[in-house]
Amino acid sequence: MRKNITVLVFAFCSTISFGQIDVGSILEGGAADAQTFMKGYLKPFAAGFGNGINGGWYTTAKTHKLFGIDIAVIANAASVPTSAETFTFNNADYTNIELYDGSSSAELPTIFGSQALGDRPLLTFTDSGGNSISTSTIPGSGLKEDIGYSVVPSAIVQLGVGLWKNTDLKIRFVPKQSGDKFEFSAFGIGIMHDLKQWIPFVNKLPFDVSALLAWNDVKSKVFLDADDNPTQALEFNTRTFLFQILASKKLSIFTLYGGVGTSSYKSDVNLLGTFVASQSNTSYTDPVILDYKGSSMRANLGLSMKLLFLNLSADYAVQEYNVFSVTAGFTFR
Amino acid sequence: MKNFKLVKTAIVLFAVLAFSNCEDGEPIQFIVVDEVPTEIAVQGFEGLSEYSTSSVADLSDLLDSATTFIEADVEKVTLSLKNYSEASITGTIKITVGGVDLINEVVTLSNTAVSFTIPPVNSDVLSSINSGFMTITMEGTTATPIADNDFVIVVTPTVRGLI
Repeated sequence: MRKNITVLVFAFCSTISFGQIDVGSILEGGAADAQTFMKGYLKPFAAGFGNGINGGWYTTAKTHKLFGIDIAVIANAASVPTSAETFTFNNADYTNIELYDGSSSAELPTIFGSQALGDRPLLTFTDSGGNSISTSTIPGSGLKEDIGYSVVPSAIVQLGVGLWKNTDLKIRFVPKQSGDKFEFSAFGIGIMHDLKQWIPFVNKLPFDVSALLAWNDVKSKVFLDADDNPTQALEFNTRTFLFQILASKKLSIFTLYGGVGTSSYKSDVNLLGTFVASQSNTSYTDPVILDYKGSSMRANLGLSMKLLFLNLSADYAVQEYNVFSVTAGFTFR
Repeated sequence: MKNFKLVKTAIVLFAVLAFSNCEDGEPIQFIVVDEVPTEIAVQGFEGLSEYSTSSVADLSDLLDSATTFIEADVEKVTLSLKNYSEASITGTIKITVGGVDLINEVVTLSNTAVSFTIPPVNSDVLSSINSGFMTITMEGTTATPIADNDFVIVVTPTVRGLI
């Protein structure tokens, strides 16, 4: 049992590289504690992805002419704020885990937190027999140390089509990608409508104004033991919603654009399947179910450049996690 | 189709960026603190005022954490008496681990554990830990003759290792 408590911490670390996950050992510490810990540890990833994937929906407030189209590849990087590099660990929230130094709470690194030993307090894991072992909490991903920034990247492909009454339909679609060890699919839909046409006098002004409503649904699943336990999987799903009032102004080959509105997301991270704790042989079905949601005001400003049919853009959005987006694609009419 | 390949590449890159860490770059260090309770039998000393015995601690739990430790020190040693016919034994006790003298103190042993904090200057047990065997040697003198021919002294070093 004690051995497995030891392994628990390293298994947490292994959750970062899914292929090495030892779920049976994680559960030895208790599913409830594992769930509580992981919820805090993974939160910036879920929030960053939820904020990030909402980027890049538009590069102008001007709608297409009828049946005009655009297609673009969008890459987003959500910046993880410093405050999200740690989460608060409270002894009172756990049954089998507590801080080794006797404190009632401490800040522990999240997945985007520090790897330094001094930033990782010791946690004591105690089993039902009263045996315990203490070890440094798991480190962050090391991304900040490697590239200098804590960012959650995301990417998507988007198609826009001009419809009637100066309305664009925007579709994001990645068909189900399946491999031996993973599944991924994405779908999103957005409507952008020219508001200026309905407002007397304003419709004469030399810039464009429109409203955008958009919704995303991204699903992914990693199979932990595809050969022997095909039902065991780590699932990550995110749904997002965006509403913004947009404005843009074309200046030669450049278009300055921006918008204000709201952005929200709901994400869940689920450990699916039946798992057996290594020592106690207790079975757990779908043992970890984490859900995250957030919403915030969103304001962004960007610049696009059109060279014949090629359209390149970059913008920065201020929201819960600020997002830098770049797009590259083609646009007609 | 190229766009989908690009997305797939982006997803893989994303996964690599977000989820790779434990093995790459600088090795990630962990501190592990574990108690290693070791029952040392004291047999055949009834009526005597001196005893000497030893035992090998079970390090399997600790060694499951890593095969090689960078540092290993004994932070604390806890002593208690088990299966002794009297309530306590008072005397000096010297405990050595792998040639390192951890304790040389006057102590009253009983069923209730008594703890000693080990100063850093004589707490290094790295060579013992990395060898996989930690031999605990115990020598003692008692104020009164030992009243039992077969009892146990439980020695519990708390080992703090850096891996």
